[in-house]
Amino acid sequence: MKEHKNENIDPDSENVLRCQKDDAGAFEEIVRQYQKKMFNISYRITGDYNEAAEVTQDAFVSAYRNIKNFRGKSRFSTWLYAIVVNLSRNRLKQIRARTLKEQFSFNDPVDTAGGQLQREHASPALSVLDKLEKREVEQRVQGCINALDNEFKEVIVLRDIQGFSYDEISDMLEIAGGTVKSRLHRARESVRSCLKKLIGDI
Amino acid sequence: MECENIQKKFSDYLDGLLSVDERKHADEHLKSCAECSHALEELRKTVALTKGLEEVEPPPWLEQKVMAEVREGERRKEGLFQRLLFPVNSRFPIELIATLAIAVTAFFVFRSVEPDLEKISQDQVTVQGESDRIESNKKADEEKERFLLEKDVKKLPKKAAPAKRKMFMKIPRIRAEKKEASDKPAALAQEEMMLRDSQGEPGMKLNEGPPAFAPAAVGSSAGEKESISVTVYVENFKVSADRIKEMMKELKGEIVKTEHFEDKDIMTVVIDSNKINRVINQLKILGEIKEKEIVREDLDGKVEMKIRFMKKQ
Repeated sequence: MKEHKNENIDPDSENVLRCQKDDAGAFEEIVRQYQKKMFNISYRITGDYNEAAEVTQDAFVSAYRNIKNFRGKSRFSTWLYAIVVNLSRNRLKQIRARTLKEQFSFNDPVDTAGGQLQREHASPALSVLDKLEKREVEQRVQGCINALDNEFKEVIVLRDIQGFSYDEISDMLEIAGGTVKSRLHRARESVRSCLKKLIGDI
Repeated sequence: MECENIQKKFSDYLDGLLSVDERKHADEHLKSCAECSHALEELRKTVALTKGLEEVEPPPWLEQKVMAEVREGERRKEGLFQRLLFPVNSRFPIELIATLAIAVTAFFVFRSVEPDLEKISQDQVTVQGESDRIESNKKADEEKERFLLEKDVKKLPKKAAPAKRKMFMKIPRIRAEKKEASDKPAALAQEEMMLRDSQGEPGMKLNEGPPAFAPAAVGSSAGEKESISVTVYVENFKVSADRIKEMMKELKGEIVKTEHFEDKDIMTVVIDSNKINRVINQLKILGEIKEKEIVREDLDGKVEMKIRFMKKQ
C-alpha cells in the first residue's frame, strides 16, 4: 500500500494502539464509528442486506484479530474498508457460485420482487425518471450496479456512493490510480447504459 | 472519432481530473456537439443518481454481535494460559478433575494390593470349615453367609459395593474349580461351593500339610505380616481369659494387651503363625466362634491375633 497522502495524524491511531494492546473497549469505539459505512459498502457490493450484515460482522472480527499487523502505512479506516471490500467480493463469488442464477444483465429484463421489470418507454412530456418514486429509482440504480462485474462495481461503490478519493480507492483495492480512473469510467458508462435501457431517457 | 475520444474523458471531466488544456479542449467540442453534450448530461445524471443512493442503516444488533465475538475470541486466547496458571478462575474446575483423578488412582492402587486380602479370605473360609466338626452343618451355613457379608462390609468400607463383591468372588479356589460347573452364574456357584467346603464335603484336606492359616497369616509371599481377629461367644470371660493365658504359655505366645469392656473382653496375642490353628481349635472348645476378621498390620515374623470374647447368647 502506498503511504497515505494526508499529512494529518490518523484519527484512529490512539484506538488502534489500544486495540493492539488487547483493549476490546477501544475496538468498540471503532465499531461504533465505522459500522454504518462498512455495512453500506458491503450492502452496495453484495446487493443483499443480510449478507452485508454478516460480511460486516466478519470484517470487524477479522480486523480485530489482525489489528496487530496494521503498520499504519495507510489510514486505519482505509485498511478497515479494504477488509470489508475483500470479504464482500468473496461473499459475492460464493453467492453467485451457489445460486448460479443469472444476475442482472444489461440485456435481460430486471428481476424485482414484483416480477420482471419491463422496459418503460420514454414519455415525450415527462421523463420516466420524474414519475418514478425515489425508492423505485434507487432499486433500478442498485440493480444496474449489481449487474456490474466486481472490479467495476467496487470502484463505483467506493467512489460515487461512498465518496472516497481516488488515492484512497487505489490504496484499498491495491490498484494504480490510472486503473481506478479507467474502471470508474467504464463502470459509470455501464450504469448509464443500463439505466437508459430500464427507464429510457435519463 | 473526436466524440469517442472526448466521451472517454467524461468520467474524469465530471470529477474535475482533466488538465486545464484537456478541459478547455473538451468544452470547446461540447459547445459544437449536441450528441456529446447529451451523453455528458446523461452521465452526469447517472453519477448523481448513484451518489443519491441513500445510506442504509445497519441492523441494530451488529455492534453487539461484533463485540460479543471479539470478546469471546479474547477469552479463548486468555483461556489457554489462564486455565493452566489460574485454574480457580477457569470455568471448568480443575480441582474436580484432580479429585476424580485421585479417587480413580486410589481405586486402582487398592485393586493392586487386593490379592493379599483375597488370600486371607480364602484361608479364613478354610478354617471355618474345620469348625464345622463342632457345629451343625446348617448353622455353619448361615454363619458363613453372615460372615461373608459382614466381612465385606467391615473390611472394605471405602470400596464400592460391586467391587467388594467382585473381589470376594475372585478368590481362587482350586477345590471349588474341580467341582462340576453348575447352571448358576459362575460367581454364585463359586460362593455356594465355598459354603459346601465349609461343611466338610469330600475333597477337603484340612488336616493335611501345614495349617491352612499359616501361609496367609504369615503373608510371606507378599512380604507383609497380617493379623486376624476372632470373636468367641463364651459363658465366662475370666475362665476364657485364663485358658488363653495357659495356652499362650504352652504355645510360647505373648499376650500383648487385655482390654475390658462392658460387653466384651479383647485379648491381643502374638504367636507363631503356624500355631494359629491350635489356638482356633482351643477357642472352639471355649465357645462358639461367630466371626472372624482380618486386620492388616505389620508384624515381625509372628501373627497378631485379636480374640474378642462376647457373652454367649
